[in-house]
Amino acid sequence: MTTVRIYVTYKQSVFDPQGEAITNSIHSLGHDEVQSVKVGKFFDVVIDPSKKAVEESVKEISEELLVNFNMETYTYKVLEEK
Amino acid sequence: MAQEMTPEEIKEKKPYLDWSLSEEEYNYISEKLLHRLPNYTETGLFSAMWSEHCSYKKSKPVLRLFPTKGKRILQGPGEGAGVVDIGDGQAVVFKAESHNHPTAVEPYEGAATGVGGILRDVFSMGARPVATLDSLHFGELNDAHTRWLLNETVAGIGGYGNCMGIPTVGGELTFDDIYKGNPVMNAMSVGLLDVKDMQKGIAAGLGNAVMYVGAKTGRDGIHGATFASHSFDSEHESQRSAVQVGDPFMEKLLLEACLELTQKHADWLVGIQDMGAAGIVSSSAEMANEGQSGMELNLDLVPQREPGMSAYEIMLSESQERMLLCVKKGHEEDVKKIFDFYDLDAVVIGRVTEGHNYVLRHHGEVVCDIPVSSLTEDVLEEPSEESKPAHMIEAENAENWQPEIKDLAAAYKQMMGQSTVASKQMFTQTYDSMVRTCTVVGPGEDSGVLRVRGTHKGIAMTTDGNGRFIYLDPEIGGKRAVVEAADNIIASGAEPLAITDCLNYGNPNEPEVFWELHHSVMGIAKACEVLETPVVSGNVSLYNETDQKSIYPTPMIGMVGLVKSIDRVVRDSFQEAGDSIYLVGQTGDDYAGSELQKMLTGEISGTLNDLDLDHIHAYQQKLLAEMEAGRVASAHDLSEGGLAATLAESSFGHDIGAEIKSDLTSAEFFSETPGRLLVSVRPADEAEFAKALGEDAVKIGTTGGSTLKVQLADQTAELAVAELKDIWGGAVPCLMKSKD
Amino acid sequence: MKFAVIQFPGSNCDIDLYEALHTVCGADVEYVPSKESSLDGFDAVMLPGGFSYGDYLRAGAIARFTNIMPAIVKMANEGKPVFGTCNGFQILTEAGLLPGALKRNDSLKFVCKTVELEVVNNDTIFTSEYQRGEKINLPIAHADGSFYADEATLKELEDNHQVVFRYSKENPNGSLHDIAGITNKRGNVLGMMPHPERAVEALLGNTDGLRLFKSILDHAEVKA
Repeated sequence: MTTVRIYVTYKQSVFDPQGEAITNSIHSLGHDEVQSVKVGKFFDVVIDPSKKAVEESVKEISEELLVNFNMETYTYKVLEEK
Repeated sequence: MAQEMTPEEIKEKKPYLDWSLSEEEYNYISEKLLHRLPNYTETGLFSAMWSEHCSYKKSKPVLRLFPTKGKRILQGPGEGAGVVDIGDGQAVVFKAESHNHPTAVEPYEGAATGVGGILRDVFSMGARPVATLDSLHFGELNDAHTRWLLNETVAGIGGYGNCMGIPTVGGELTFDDIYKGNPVMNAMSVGLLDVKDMQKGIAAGLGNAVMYVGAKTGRDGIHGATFASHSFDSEHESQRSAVQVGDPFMEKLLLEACLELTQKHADWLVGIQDMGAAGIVSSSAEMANEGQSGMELNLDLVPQREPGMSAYEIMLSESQERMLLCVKKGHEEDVKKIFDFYDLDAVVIGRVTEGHNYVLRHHGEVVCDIPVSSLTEDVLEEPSEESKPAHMIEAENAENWQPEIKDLAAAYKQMMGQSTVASKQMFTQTYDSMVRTCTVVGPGEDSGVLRVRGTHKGIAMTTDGNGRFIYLDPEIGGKRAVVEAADNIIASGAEPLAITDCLNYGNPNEPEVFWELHHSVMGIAKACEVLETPVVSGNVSLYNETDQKSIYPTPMIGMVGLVKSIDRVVRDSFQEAGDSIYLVGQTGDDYAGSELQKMLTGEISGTLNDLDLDHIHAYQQKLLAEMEAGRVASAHDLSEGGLAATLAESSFGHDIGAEIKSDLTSAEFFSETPGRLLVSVRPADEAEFAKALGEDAVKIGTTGGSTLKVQLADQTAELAVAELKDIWGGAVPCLMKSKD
Repeated sequence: MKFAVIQFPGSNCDIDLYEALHTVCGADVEYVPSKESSLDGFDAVMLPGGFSYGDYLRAGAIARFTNIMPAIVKMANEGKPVFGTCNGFQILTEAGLLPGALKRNDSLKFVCKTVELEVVNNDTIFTSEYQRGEKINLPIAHADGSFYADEATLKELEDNHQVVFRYSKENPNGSLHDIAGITNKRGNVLGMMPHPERAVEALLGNTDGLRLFKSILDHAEVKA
């Protein structure tokens, strides 16, 4: 089984109000070193590579369901293979 | 899995003390009820079922004081919710519930699951919930933690109610430092029912199935019931595991499935009950007790979210969005099909048995075999000591505070910016108040009003609590709370029908706290009798204290009224210029516990004047008759901030000012004498109105203009409606934005 | 003319649409659960507000995989009226029947209030009873109503007059171009965040939404 973490975020150009609010509150805590925060979500997906190639599977479920390409984009990394 | 203690080890090591079961109770159970030592699972069940939250062992003697019967009352306390006849074969179903402790610990989920729980109570009666109200009392907004708690609480209430598609149409929100560590979060649900569809929590009929429906059981919220019966200390962070997480989507499906069953297939069903506090054990034991039945459950059949749960954990889990049904033998598959359509679990986990024993099997072994009644009826009532609070005796021996208003205009502006008086729109507009398109009057007025589809009727509803008055004098304060609720209902043109309550108090083992509980219930009971609004349901929340400091005694009164003709609903704002303004009810020197006292002195003190309930009831009835006859253009209850605040609020809705001439003093302008309403009357209706109300209504002015011109006995002032409205509208958002 | 009001798991404004059509407009309307796969016999389909599938993942994202969706797409392709309000609008964008997407409100909060809208395009089957440029008031009630589309899509929407309603006094959620409601290119699919079905009776204080339903019914009459 392969565990893949898929990260979904807004595209660069899309305004992220949560990220903005979190940045502001980090600044109010005095962390001037923080320039910006972007909020996203991740999905840990356990895939059986004998049934479908992991890369292909990730691409399909992301495009079909997890990501709305009008405003979002994604990356992923393999966390564990066993 | 850790080895469970043997009965002998339990006797020796007394783990039950941590679960809030006393040694005396444990011994009574062993010696008098079971005649043997209870095992680990049984001890757990007893500790949950004998908690105050499930058994009312402390408050029961006091609760018996409430009047609970009336000609319209179809179901009083003891079921999921109270049921009141509104004619045409229909009934209104309602109950309120406190979720103070979970809200203090995890405000979003605490508030959300508070709403979820009270909704299930209402739809377990076979009713469709049609409205939610809340009653919130928090610390002052100058504290960052309080602001966070409040934001999260409001988000939790909205998050659950909005997703369920049940409008939040009213409520209250007040601020006082006393609630800083222990906020009060009460939620009330109101539902509608065709009387023929009414259900009960009962399991009976040999061989009938006990069915579990809804979400799976996990380890969340174990000992929530005992958690609610504990006080907090500042190290409460460690108790976080006891908070449940709500899933309103699941509950929406559960609601629709349950209503399909109760409305279309009631003949398959014997009884239905929410799995609330103390989960499976309380719902199943109470249903068996109601049916005088025995019951046997196989815990291996309970749908479980986590592996390796013990019998104790399965029985005490407070996972949300679950219901227990008793289904007639032979209809199990039919019921399952309904729940299948909604993708919900529906599993037979046991049967009604002969005799009167409560038997649980787990992994092939009997893990509990005790009389049903030992869990439900044999609970030892705890006698309580009570003593009159010392502060009351002190107050009786001192002079009451008398206000001095130096600058009427300045005081007026300051009053409209007090957080308790000011607009709460920034919170209420995060609630969907309109979904289901029945909301005639939404949040921000004296009561929320809904039409009843297919009829000309409406129902009005309100929540009211005023801990300050009840702290100063529990009995008079209790009367005032009911009068205030009735005024709110009448202000919308509705006839008060009945109440539900949430009794929020400190630690009842303190004699002064118990005295507060006892005497405020006396006051509430007395007012309910006179105003003919019986108590049909309720909830008790004790141990509301932080670091040994109790909150004010804060009973919440949730009242429901009937609007005979929905197009005669009366709003709180002046409708037109040129109408006459009347003050209904006498004004006295009622400054103790008032917003004015809080504003000018920073604290509250003094003794309260008693009320003439019969007199108030008499003129409330006369006023209501005038409203039902369509002779009242607007009506607004007087509460915090007195006539001053009510006058201003009445002017805001349509930006219509007023000219007031009164022989009241500027202090009396802010007095909070209960039982008063401000009404406006069209010139054409004035003669009849004045004749009907007689001495109980005094004309004090006329609507019109864009200012409030106030000529009082000692001072005059003229303020722009727009300026007061800005202060009133901006105060709370401004406080919520502060950074410190 | 027969309307279908789709009930997705978690829909909760279904009754509002049904009552507006049935009780107020006297139209022929039926509920259709999203587990059904056919809309044969219906002339228009209405997607209600609510929280289909709890709005888990994204508002409307899971609803588009229900059995009924192919039938809705078919009706859209046949040029029949397809209407979605609030969650219904979100579902229509997720399903690709309308361009763009609905994001979390800029305030990050759910907001329920009445807002002023401008009727930007009255040359549609949904808005023929309104005047162009007319200001109307409709309730909104949503947390994810901020309309987003990239520049090219926005330009196309504007050029094709697909923007039907715009927020006019204040923009309550951060929608680009103040967009409150759009149609597809053909003009037979309308999605909007405001709730016209909540504004059809004087008793509830607002009737500005009534003409939207009247427009659809008029259109059917003209056609018939």
